[in-house]
Amino acid sequence: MSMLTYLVEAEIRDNVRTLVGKTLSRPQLLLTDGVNLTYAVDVDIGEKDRLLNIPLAANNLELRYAEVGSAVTLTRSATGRWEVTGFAKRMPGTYTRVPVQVPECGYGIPHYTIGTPFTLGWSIRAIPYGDFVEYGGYGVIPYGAVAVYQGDDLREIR
Amino acid sequence: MRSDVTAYTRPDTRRQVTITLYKTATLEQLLLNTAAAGFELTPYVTQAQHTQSELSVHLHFDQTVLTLHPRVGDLVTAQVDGWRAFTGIIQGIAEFEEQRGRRQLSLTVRTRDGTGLWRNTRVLSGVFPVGTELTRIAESICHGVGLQPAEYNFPLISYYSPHTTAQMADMTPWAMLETVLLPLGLTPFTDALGRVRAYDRTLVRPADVIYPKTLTLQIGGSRARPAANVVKLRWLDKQLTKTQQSDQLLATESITAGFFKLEQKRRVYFSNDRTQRAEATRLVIKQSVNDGLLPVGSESYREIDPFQGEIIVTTAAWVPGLATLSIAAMLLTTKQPDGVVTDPVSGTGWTISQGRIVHGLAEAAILITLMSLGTGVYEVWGVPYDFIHTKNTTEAYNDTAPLWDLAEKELDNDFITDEAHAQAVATRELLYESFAACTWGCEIVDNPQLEIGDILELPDGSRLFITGYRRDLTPGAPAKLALDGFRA
Repeated sequence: MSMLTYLVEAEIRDNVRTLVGKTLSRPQLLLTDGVNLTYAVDVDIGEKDRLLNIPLAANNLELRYAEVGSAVTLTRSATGRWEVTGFAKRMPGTYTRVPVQVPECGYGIPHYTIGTPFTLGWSIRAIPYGDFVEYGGYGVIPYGAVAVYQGDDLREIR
Repeated sequence: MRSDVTAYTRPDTRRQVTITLYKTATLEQLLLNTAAAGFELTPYVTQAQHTQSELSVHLHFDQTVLTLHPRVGDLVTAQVDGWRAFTGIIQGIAEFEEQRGRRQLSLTVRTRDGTGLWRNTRVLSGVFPVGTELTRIAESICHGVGLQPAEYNFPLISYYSPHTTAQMADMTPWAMLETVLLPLGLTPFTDALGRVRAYDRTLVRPADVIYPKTLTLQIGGSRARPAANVVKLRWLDKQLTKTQQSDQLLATESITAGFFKLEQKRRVYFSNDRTQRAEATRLVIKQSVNDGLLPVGSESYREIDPFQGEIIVTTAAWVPGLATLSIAAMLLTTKQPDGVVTDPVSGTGWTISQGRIVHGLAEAAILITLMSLGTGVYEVWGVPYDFIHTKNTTEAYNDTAPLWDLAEKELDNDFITDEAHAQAVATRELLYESFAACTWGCEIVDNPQLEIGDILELPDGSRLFITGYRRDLTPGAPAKLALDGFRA
């Protein structure tokens, strides 16, 4: 693959106008000027990291009710900013990484070793009533709180 | 690897090359050996060479060839000692030149997959139900572009389409073949006979040919690009995932209840386009029909299916009953005669309508029922949900590669069956991409058995995965084969 090919691919990636994602938080008020309210959510777009505080498009009341884990469409504005513009029929799912020890070019049939696969994908689970004690106890953790995981690691409670 | 031919043992072997032009034959006829005899160009060939996908022929010709007039679209075959080395379609005629004592032209002949139909025309595939073998889909794509069963041959590998329905759109037929065959670890190519086949991309397999030292003439290698050390495979999960939204208002309705109708049913959909699913739906009464003077009925709700519910307002039976009885009473009392009420002391009295009292009561009853007319305002709340596909990512990466050497290749394929299959495909592609960066070439004594995708083992044990080859068919050229590929 030549350098030119890399440049062309980068150009294509830069021109992506829409993405599908999965909300990792409930819409929360991001900013207001006293008249208009801007709500924002965190979104998983199928990469290792998540997008934080992505504004919801105005005049879309349904998006304000987006529950965590909803499939949403993100659109990029001319200024390069992403915003959530609607619901989607597709969303990022699991993200699994498989470490492979690739041998150098040698002789005979190449022998490679596969390590233990691990997951990196973002997921959200409602915290059951009985698990409250693990996260600070009833009253500290509000009922209805959700836990945000990356792979098997708890990242935060919302 | 071809099994219908044998390898040469000496580079100075004299080969008998025959290049033939076919004006009317089809590729299928050439495959089945039913084509009418073609015109042999061999006596006019001054230079000829071919790769796995292209044949270049330079001709010095006379009036016979000129009369025959080779055209774009005619078929050409190259035979070496009776075995077919190349079959293709004329795609270009260049350097056509006539001058005193000299006439020459060059033909560029390509395999069938080099034509616009395969590479540039975007088509729509058929619809394939769940459980269709992927090789059957590949065959269907070939059939869709006019190939007969003799013109394609794919190995039967038991992988099946995982989705309820699968259809490819806005893709070239060749891209469709590549997409369908990737989960099987295969890449399509056109062989020397003109058949569409597929070679195995797996590197972890024994070599197809072990070549002796005496038949290896030259070896050269280079590494001109970084090897991909991360292969990211995105694939569509066949399992649908349920996603919910918050509990919210789905529909509103208002219903007026009264003596005029005993039961009113009103269907409400959970979205204007009637496609939104919802669960745990319930009725919220913002204003009841019983908020009037008297309670006139009952209000209830039932969920019909995930898309709609029904609000039922039932008027109490006494309401229309009372109204009807009152009207009947009023009608009856009109026929009652007047009576005289007499004072027992004075013996005098006054006249009073006997029905008036009953009439008044009936009229009051009707007014009460009219005043009890109620309009209910209802909301249906619930939790909207939907079943959607998830796009999973499986990434195989070279654990030993340094971070600064990171080079990523992204693949997208919706024919992946499950996570285990995705990991197998991503790992295989990682190996292929890692090794493919280390390009290699070698020159050997001609071996017509070799095809692209074969693995050649050299005397020292190193292996070459063949991605291309060149063969010189010029009259008198040595029997050599130049191979391109990478160390595997």
